[in-house]
Amino acid sequence: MDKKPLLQVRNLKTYFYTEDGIVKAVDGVDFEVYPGETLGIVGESGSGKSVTSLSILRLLDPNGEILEGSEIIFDGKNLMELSEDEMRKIRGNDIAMIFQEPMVALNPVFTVGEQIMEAILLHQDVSKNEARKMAIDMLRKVGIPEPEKRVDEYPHELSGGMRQRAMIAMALSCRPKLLIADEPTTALDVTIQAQILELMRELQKEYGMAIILITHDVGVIAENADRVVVMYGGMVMETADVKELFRETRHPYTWGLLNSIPRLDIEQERLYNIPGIVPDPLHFPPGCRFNTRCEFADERCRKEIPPLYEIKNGHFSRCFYYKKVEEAQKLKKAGESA
Amino acid sequence: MSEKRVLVKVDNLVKYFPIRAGVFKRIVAWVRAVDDVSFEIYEGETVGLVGESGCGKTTVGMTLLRLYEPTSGRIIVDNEDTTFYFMPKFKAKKYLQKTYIEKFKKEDPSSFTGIDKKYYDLYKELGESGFYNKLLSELNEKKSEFRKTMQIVFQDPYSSLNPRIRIKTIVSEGPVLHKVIKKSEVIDKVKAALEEVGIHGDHMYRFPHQFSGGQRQRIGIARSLLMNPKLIVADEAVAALDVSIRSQVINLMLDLQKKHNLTYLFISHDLSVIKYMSDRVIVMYLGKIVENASKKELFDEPLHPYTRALMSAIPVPNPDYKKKRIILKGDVPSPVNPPSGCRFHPRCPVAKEICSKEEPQLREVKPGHFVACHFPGSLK
Amino acid sequence: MNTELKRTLRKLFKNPSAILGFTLLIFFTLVAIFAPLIAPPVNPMFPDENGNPMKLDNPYIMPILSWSSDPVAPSKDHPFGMIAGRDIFYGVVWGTRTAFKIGLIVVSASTLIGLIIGSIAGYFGGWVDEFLMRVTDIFLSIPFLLAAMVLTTILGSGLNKVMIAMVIFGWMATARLIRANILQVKEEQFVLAAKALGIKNFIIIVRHILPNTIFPVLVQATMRLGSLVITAAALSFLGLGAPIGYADWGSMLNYTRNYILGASGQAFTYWYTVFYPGMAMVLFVLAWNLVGDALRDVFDPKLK
Ligand SMILES: Nc1ncnc2c1ncn2[C@@H]1O[C@H](COP(=O)(O)OP(=O)(O)OP(=O)(O)O)[C@@H](O)[C@H]1O
Ligand SMILES: Nc1ncnc2c1ncn2[C@@H]1O[C@H](COP(=O)(O)OP(=O)(O)OP(=O)(O)O)[C@@H](O)[C@H]1O
Ligand code: SF4
Ligand code: SF4
Ligand SMILES: [Mg+2]
Ligand SMILES: [Mg+2]
Repeated sequence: MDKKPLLQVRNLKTYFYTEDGIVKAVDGVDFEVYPGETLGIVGESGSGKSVTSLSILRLLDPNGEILEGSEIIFDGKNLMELSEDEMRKIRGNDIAMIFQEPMVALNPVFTVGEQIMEAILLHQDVSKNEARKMAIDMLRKVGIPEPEKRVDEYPHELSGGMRQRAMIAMALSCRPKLLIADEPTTALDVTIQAQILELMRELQKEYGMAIILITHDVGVIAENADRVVVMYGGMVMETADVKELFRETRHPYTWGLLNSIPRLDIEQERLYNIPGIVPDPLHFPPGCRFNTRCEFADERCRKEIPPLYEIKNGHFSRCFYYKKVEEAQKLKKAGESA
Repeated sequence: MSEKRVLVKVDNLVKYFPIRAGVFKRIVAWVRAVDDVSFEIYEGETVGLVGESGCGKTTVGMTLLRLYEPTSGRIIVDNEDTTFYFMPKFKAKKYLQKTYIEKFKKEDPSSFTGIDKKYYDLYKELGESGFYNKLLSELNEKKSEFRKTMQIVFQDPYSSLNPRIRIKTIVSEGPVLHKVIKKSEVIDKVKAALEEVGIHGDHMYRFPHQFSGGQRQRIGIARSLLMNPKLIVADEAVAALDVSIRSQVINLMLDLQKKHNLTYLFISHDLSVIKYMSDRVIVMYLGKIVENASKKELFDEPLHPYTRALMSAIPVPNPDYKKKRIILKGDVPSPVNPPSGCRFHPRCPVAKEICSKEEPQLREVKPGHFVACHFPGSLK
Repeated sequence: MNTELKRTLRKLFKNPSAILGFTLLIFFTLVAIFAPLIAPPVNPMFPDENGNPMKLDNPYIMPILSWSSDPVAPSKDHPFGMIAGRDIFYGVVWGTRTAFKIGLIVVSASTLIGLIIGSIAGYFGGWVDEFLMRVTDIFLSIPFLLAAMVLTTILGSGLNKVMIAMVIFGWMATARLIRANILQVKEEQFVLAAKALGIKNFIIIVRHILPNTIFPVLVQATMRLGSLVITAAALSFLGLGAPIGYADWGSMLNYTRNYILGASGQAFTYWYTVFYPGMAMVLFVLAWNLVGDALRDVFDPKLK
């Protein structure tokens, strides 16, 4: 890809200082987002997905710190160097965010309309009346029926799906260049999830914004992302174009993950088990973070942290033995066709 | 295969929850959480119960286990009517009179089958008062038997274990009470049960917070397992687990099923998991069963429009897989005021006029394939 | 578990107000235990046949050391001064025991009643709950002082009667608190699991519900322990509580009623008559409050 990236995250390290020790929630994460594309970030609970996105917006809890040397370059500006005031202008204006639980993000004491209007007035030079009209338009756009009426309702009067739509309306009201969606549909039913994802696809087509879609659902990634970042233990394990990732998996963790999910599209004899448990972020093992659960792990994996190898143009894997995964995949394919 | 035995038979189960309001806490409306559902579970099979949030899955499971008292309906377990076990005696008697005695006096005995026939013979043999005495005697033993037969595994690995007691007590409390295991055997049996689910036996002296989510879920399974149950209701038992842990627990449950000849009622909102686990699948929508078929039938040829839509909404982890997307409009309506006629009609892409007027009954469209729709198979 | 405990203790002892609270509490406890050594229960005015001061029959009745009832300023023999012919130091020291007695007995009795009523209401719900909560409301709607006065006129006055009144009208907050907590915990899946195992209601309450709901009640009880002493003092002040001459901080303040303002033009002349018993009371209340706060901090971030 030779387009210029919209967002470049370089060596992002975010640590939390707690009573029990240092939580290395994000420990050297690199990726970029190109204009108009959807980057999927997938990983299990605690892998650092949310902390990554909050770091981009610099919205961390007070006990968290982005380490020196981390770079977040958005539209040519290093966000790490901006003042709090400049950062506030970026949030909501250029980069917007939607969360898993809209109830947390929406203020329960203001109507949906007031909140969208507030966002509009903050970032655009329009009158109150115009802002209200824009808010109603936005609600209509995200598929909320009777927007003239809903605009004066409070968040708790809306259903979960409606609330998520309202959140999206609020996030998009300022036409951001980048939308970060952190598990936007995890709390919703599948039929409602399908509606919301469809809506996001349509709006992306219309507005041309880039999306970072964070989820733990590999299916959602497969259907919605253009490129994928797989995270584990605060690190990027594999990055690739979505089709490439599923066809040519090159990391033992991704490989295990893909084989351990029940699927509708194929018959499965027995699911693969990734053995062991997700490591505690206070006590990551030395070396490769996946070495306690990896079937290819050896002495080297227990000592050194593997670098991100570029296997092909745009396909990276943080594994010394990515070739073994290639073989495993060949074997499996041979087994399937036999 | 030999004729399979029915382990659980649910007839016309209804569970309404009252909504109270005002100073006097008067009942102002009812949540029709489960509204007239009937199904059977055969011994040794896994029945998957699937549907969206609020459709009544949990309520079915909880009522089956009598953690909720049913509003009406009949629950037959192991060829015994268990419906009245947990009622006060006078209510139990009234229930028996209404369900059996009145029927026995009115209807033609030759038409009775199953439990009706069994109880009719009992009634003939013992007379009316003898019938009551027999069924209402030894209720404590019957309850204990009921608890041993059916167990549950819950969704939330954090709230399903009491944080203040040790694993040993958590796992052995029930079995000791019901004399499934002796007090003197507790340590050995708990150890064996824990090891069976993949937890180190020596960890029985730990507290729940010393375990991860997946491990807690295993402990919850061990707790049920040690009661030596026939049926385990697993209510979203893997939903809260991480993907890589989920498959471990799913496989564990399948292994245990084989080993102990367990029967599962596997409740989940995730059709992919249901497909992997189940032999038969029941799809619910807004308190009703809309489809009930063998797994193969259901996934090869779903006949209810809702089942179809649900299937198409599940994201498939395969970017090369092309599928038709059916996006349903609107939200699931409230079970307080369910739509008239077919409850799915406001969202159904193929609804016709009759759908809003007449409620479709669950009928056998193909052998073993039940659908509640006026136009089964019309959504392609 | 051990590390958990260590962490809790470490947290506790990093908090200065918790340390202050525990120190004060330990101090009061020591005073109460060693009262006979600190202020020997004897009356030096009446030597016995061997010339030793006479032992008191009831050490809680402060010995009369002088026939003048006017306050006497602190001196070497009477470091806190005297009032109504009685040694204030003696009263403050033995009053510590009285304060503990009132606090511990009333709080444990009323908390127990509250626990039982609240647990039954919360666990069984339905009309049982409805009925018990109405009763609670009725008790809450009666002004406490009025009720205590009526009750002591029926039962007669005296410290024990006052304590009975405080128990009878002191359980409602606990009942409400425990009920609310139980309603929450009742929905937890481990309670449902216990029901599915066929565990008896009583065991479910005692083993599964109370241990997970009781800590807020303990915190509340701790805080109440201090403030009860003020209530008791108020009753004593009204003349309903302890008999004349009883070593009780509240009753001692009662004596000072006539002297609180001092002689005309010299408002603070008799400061010691108010200061020492008053100070004891304030510090006692403070100690329990700080300890209660500390316990809340310990229990609040629930065991994960
Ligand atoms: N304020 C904080 N203090 C200490 N640790 C924190 C804090 N916020 C997050 N963490 C830790 O950082 C790690 C990464 O958390 P993060 O929320 O990014 O995970 P995630 O990938 O978003 O997971 P999920 O799927 O559960 O949302 C976790 O181990 C978490 O406990
Ligand atoms: N104890 C209760 N009191 C009142 N209403 C209830 C109660 N339990 C469930 N309901 C209502 O009954 C309906 C069915 O709930 P149920 O929990 O059975 O759904 P579910 O299919 O298990 O959903 P989920 O996927 O969210 O677990 C819902 O509308 C719910 O609000
Ligand atoms: S580096 Fe080693 S431990 Fe890590 S994923 Fe690769 S093979 Fe496994
Ligand atoms: S009965 Fe009518 S509305 Fe209901 S599912 Fe069938 S076609 Fe749709
Ligand atoms: Mg997150
Ligand atoms: Mg449920």
